[in-house]
Amino acid sequence: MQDRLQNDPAYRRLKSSSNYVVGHVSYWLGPDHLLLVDVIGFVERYRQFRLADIELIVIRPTRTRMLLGSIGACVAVPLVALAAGLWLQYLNTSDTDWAVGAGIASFFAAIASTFLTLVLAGGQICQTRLVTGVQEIRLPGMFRLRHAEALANALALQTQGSTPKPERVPDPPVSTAPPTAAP
Amino acid sequence: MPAREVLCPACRRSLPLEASVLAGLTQCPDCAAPIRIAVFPAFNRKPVTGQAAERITGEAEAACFFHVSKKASVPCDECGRFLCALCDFQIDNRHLCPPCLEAAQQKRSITSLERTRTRWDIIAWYVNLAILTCIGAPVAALANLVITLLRWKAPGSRVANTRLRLILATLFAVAAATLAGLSMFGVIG
Repeated sequence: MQDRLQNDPAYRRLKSSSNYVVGHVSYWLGPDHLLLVDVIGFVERYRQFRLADIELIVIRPTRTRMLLGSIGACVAVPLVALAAGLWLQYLNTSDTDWAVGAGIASFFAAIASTFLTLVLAGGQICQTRLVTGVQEIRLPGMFRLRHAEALANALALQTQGSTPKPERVPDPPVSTAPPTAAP
Repeated sequence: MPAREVLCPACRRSLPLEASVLAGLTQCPDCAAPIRIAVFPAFNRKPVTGQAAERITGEAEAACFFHVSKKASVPCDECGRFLCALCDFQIDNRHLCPPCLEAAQQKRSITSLERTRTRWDIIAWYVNLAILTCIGAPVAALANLVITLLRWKAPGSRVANTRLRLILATLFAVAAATLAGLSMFGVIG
């Protein structure tokens, strides 16, 4: 019987996890299955998918990053400008009221700038679905394109020993024969 | 080829069922939403149907413990009862009968059947939040010592080293309590 008191060294953590306020989601590749570990509060929930049952990973890139980036920029840029203006005003007048305002504006500008940086630096956002013979589920926490592609590649390496490459339909050969003259 | 549909995640319309076409798709043919699909060997595999239990045809054949008219095909790895194909549950390369499977699930002795586990190391770190209050450090240290002693043998996470984290949380609380005690009696600070 497997020792259930120790963590299993057979699992390899995939570079795809998502943190939220009271928990996080992580993906682990076992010898014959993919293990989804969802920690909510202090309870760890498991969900297993046998590698032999996984049929498709469907990744749909979305425009969420552009949308969030636009919102972040619309908030961050005015706040940064406001903070800079208030600091300049404080430097010119040496009035501490301007410094207080500048400090508050700088605080919110820093939050908005951090949010914007995280959104933009994290890469493209996507939805990832896992399809088996009897289910199609949206993978929680798998919302970065690079993470989803890494998951698909890791599963492919484990199941078939190579990275899946899209089999593109070859273009029809271009005819190089000279056009025949119309009779 | 699977008998069911593969749907576009954006418009929920059917996509082509050929594996080579699916793998080469960069957008949905109907809604033009960008998609990427990784196709795995199971996609082209025929669905496996469950094995039906065979009827006993001769007196020399062993019968299933639970179905006397069915032919036994394998013994239970736990209790040794003969099982027909209907009663045989294969879990982690072991053959189990329904009562042994239920008992194993209740005793949590088969890891792959477990759906949840309590993370006592996370609870210990939550308890450490009490250190932020003025008299919380000794309480947190005591509570974490109790948790560590009582829950040392409890099953931890399947993937993380929960014992190490539990020890670290307890040591942190004990160190904070020690510092608080020394500070209170004027030894330091």
